[in-house]
Amino acid sequence: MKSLRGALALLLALCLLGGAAGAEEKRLHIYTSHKPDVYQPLIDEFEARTGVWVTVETGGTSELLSRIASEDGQSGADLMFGGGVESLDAYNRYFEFPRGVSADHLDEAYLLDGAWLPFSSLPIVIICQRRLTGGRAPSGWAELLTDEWRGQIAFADPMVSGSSYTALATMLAALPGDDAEILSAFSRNLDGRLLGGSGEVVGAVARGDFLVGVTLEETALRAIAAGTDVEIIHPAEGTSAVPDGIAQMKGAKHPENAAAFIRFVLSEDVQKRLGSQFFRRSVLKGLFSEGARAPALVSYDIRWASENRDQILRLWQTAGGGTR
Amino acid sequence: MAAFGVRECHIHGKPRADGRCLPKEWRRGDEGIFACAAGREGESAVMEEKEKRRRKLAAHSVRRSFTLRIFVTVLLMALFPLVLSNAIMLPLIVNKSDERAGAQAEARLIRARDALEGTCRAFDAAANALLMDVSVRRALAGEAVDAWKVYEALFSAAGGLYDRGHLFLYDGDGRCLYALKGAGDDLPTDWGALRRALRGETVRLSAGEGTLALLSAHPSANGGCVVYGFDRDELASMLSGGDGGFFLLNATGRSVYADDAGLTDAAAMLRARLLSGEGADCETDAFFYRAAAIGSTGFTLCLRAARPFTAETRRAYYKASAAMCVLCAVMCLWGAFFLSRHLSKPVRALSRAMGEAEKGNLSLRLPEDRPDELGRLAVGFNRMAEEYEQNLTRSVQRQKELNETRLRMMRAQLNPHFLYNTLDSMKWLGMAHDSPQVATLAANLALLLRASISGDEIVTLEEELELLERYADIQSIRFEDRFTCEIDVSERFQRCLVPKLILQPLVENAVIHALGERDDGYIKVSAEEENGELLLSVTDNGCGMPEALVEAINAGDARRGGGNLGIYNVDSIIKLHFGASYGLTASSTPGEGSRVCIHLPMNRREADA
Repeated sequence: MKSLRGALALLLALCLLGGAAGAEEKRLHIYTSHKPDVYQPLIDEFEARTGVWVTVETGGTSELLSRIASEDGQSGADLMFGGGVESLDAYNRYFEFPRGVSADHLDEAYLLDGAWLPFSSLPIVIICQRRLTGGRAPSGWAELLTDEWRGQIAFADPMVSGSSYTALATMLAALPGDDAEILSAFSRNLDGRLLGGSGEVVGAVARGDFLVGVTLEETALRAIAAGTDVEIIHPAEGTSAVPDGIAQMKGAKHPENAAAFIRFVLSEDVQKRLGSQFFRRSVLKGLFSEGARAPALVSYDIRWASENRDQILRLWQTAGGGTR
Repeated sequence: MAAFGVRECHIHGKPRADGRCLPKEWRRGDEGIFACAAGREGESAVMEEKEKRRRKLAAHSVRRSFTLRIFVTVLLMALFPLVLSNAIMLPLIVNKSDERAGAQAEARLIRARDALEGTCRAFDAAANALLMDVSVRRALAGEAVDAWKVYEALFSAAGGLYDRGHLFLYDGDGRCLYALKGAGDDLPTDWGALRRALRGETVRLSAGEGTLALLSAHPSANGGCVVYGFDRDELASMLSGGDGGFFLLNATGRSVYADDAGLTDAAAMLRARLLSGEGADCETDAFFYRAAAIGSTGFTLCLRAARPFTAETRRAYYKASAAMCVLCAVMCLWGAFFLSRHLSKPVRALSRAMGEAEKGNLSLRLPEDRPDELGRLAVGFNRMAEEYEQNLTRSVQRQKELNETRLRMMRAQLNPHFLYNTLDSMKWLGMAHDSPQVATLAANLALLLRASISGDEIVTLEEELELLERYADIQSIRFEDRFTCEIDVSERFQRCLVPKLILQPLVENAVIHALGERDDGYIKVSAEEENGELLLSVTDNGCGMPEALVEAINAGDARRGGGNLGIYNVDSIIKLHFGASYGLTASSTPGEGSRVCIHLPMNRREADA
């Protein structure tokens, strides 16, 4: 039972919390597939700067995107934060470009005339357990097709993992020759040892189950910062850096707050920290190389990769699908 | 329903095999139900049986309801207070304790909040003092200044706040220039509180960075800012002195400090409540949550306090209480059952015995094993039944004896008219043939017979003596004057009432047995009054009566000891008329004589009406 004094104190608290503890216009609801390590600091700073009450719903990229599709404009969320841009591109019709946000300072390579915007860039790299290889290491994609590394490549099943599929597409873009031959050579080299998810790659290489692996630079850098002993190799032929994105929902209830958040994550304050705090790379012009040594990039057509996904995967299956 | 006109008997079900029209035997019942005669007979038998059973049941239930009433009353009286007290007391205790605990939590919270606000105010004052200090301003602007002057300003502004928090001076690049104690971490200028402060905003409170849990930044007009803050220990001691349970929510409901790690879920829960507009004060199963705003900072101090009775504890209590009630119910059932049986068993036994007694069976006796009222009832009943039974037996016996005596007497009565006429003829013949003795015998006999057959049972002594004289006349003729009979009764006894013909058998007895062969037999009949009784005595001077006979007569049982029927009859008649205290007594001296006395109550005939 509240005393009168308690009731007054509560009233005071409510009044001073910016009116009804988060009045409707001071709210923002986000769907995100990022980990809390990534989104929480950003949200905390955004809240401190703007006083907007942010609520978050987490899930896998495909799970959230299909949910958005089924909600079809009646979604409670205001924006989708996370997921590869090719995935966001596929659902482009559920998004609208945020008002008052300029894309001028962003690298054009990441812009595809969609309603979405890129957030951070994620290069694919090769990792290696140097202690077991006795100093040897593959220099690039071509070497991964040689017998030297047969059965020693930690690679997630591209049928399941988005980043693994991107790696395949990157190989096709980086290496000359017939796509089918490249895929079958790689498939043979995997020798039936496929991993279930991209998250397992770093651990498998660190443990010594595999000598080399293919994964996102972010995963590798995060693991290394946590003490995992693997080495990052930037492929000589170049690699892709497909960004993950952020998009405002069509029919969002708080469009101004969504736009403000997007503007925030694309600001220099955040983008400059992507490397040091989040192990990612910025999508701003000229900031790609900020932080850790940047890999060389190959010309990678994101749209081509997303449009031909089914075809490439069918080709992969025919080529062996990673089985013996 | 079968073919037209033929109905189904609702008892037997089947219609009659023949006949299209309504058979005569079919009758309409009360509700229009058809039944055949046989069916209706059977039905009435069934109804009778049902009625009998219902009455028996009712009788049973009436008898049982006494038991049932006691049973139910005891059960309710034992159970009801227990259930009531549990139902009232338990929630009362629980709610009162909860209330008190809630109030205590509230008080703790307010105290902590006031402590925090007070400390912040003090530090605000210190910061303002520093911002006004010349040396400090110059140092913040980046100009060269004597360090000791700045420290002097720091220490004097801090005053007694040294132990309660940290005080720093930051320049415009986020470097910590001066610290009251320890060393301040460099802060980013593009992120967090410092960024906002360097843009000119006074950050009243913000989540801390590095070692600081909470900080406040006050910009200087010349660039740079004064920062004060508290580390976890300082904050903890300020809030609770170690009792724990506090956590701090920022302006958007995020937890920036918690006393222990277990409070993060609580913080998230409260934030959700605030978002849904419910208000932070609430209770869960095990905890209270209270919130208080901190000044105008937008921050909220929250406290989680344990409830004295968690939902689980409360459930346990209610379960235990329910179990106790069930146990008590069982015990009450048991006790009530035995108590009611204990009380109603003797009552039922008495009732049954009464029923038997009504039916005439008086032999039933109740056990007398109880010392209480029911036991005394049983004793009383037994005594009453005993006495009643004995009375009945006695009266039956007496009736039997009276009837036997009457029967005997009646047998002795021959056809009277024939006897009179014959005797009459004998008298006239005697007179005609000059035999006066024959005439006398016949006449006297006729009189005697008439008297004995007809007339009242009770006559006056005068009349009785008259008859006796007649008898004596007859006997003296027969016995040729070998004896004399003297009657000595005074005038005042003449009107006494005596049963008819009681003296005759005694005199006869004397004549036949006592006098025997003597020629000078003497019999005297006299009357006396003794102790309110009328005493008629027949004395003779004969050979006396045997000892056994005298004893038997005196004992009231003249048949024993060889006594004759006559004496026995007289005794019986007297006893039957007047009771056992009257009758015959005898005394005798062998060889000298005997005396037989008749004891009668003194009754005189009233003057003739």
